[in-house]
Amino acid sequence: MSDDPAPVPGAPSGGARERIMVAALRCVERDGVRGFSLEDVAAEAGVSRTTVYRHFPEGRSQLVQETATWEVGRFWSRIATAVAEQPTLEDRLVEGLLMGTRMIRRSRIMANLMDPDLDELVSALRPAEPLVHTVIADYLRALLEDEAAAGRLRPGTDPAEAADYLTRMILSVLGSPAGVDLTDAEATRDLVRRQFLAGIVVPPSGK
Amino acid sequence: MTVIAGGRTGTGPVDAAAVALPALPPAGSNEAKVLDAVLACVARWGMQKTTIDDVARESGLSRATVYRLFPGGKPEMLRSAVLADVARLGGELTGELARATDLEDCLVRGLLAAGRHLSEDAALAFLLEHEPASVEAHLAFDRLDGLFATAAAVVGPSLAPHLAEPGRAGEVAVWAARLLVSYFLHPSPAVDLTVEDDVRRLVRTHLLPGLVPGPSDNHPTPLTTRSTGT
Repeated sequence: MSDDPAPVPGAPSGGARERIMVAALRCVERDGVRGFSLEDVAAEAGVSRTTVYRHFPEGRSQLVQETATWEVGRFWSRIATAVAEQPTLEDRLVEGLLMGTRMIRRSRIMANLMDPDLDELVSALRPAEPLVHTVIADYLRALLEDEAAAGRLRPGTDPAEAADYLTRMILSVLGSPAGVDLTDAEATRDLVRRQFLAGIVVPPSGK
Repeated sequence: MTVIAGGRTGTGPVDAAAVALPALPPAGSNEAKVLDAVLACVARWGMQKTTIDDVARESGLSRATVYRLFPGGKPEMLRSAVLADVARLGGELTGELARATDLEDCLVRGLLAAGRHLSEDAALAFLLEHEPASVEAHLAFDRLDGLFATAAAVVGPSLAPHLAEPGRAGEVAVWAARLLVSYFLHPSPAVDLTVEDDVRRLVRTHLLPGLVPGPSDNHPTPLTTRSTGT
């Protein structure tokens, strides 16, 4: 499973709207969040300026915001797809954190961000935050309900509450590793065992 | 404020420098008056609209005195006021944790004191309501690493005596700080960090099992979505 920032297989493709957002991402990679115009995006996408405005009538800010939200959605769906094969909840969390970290490190957008760019990106992403939290928590809740049915959760664990807790930890750790080496599988597994799952899953016997 | 993520810098453990916290100016000093005035003005009008004149008027000092104390003007005043606020929180936490009897007590006291401090911070509340970008920009992506490093440095030593592995005190402090920031920025209907019962359930459900060595058959009442009674 590649985690290159390439289009998600099976994602709708070819539409002008998506082509414009892909072009916007390329422009951001090249010129920064603040460094491109709608003309640049139109040229990159091979469409007219009018077409860009038809899809994003509020102009640049709408394009930046929706592209950022769309890219965040792709980021998480790539991770969900990649970890689907992992045998345990712990493995999924570990692999997801490792992969998320690799993708962030590799992202030319993140690497090139200057502070004013970062501020604009923060503003652009803010409206999507509750949605991101909800999507991740719903995904984890379904996993936790399966785990509960299999008898692998501590008695009395509330899957919804546990999913909310895990979502907070995932978002916090990926955003600010603060000393944890998320490129190292052992360090990441140790973190997941201690801080993510210790209160949620039944401790492995003999441990 | 963590939608994608950060980690823009370097590889391996991120050694963000802890933010150096200033010594608090003596109460009643002109500097303390200015810093208090800054927070009062921000609580009323926000960061963008607060002017040096406002601060001078609020503090009862002359404009010239304010400028002499903060030659860097508004940005320096704002920064100093925020750092003083963080230093005050650090002092409160150190005092609170010194009275803790065991690990659970320590974590509950710390999270509760910090949660209440943040919720009572009128300047922060105004900013989150009206200028959220100004707050979140500081908490976004890996910019939080500095704040977490500060939490480790300030709170870690108070936690260490209660831990089976004292060497992990810093990371435990960061863990608690993560939860503090998360619940503050994204409130949960089930966990209110100003309510002792909620904090205790959070600590018992998620923190203690990861900190108490051995097979923890002493798992407490699990955290479930709190019924608010209405």
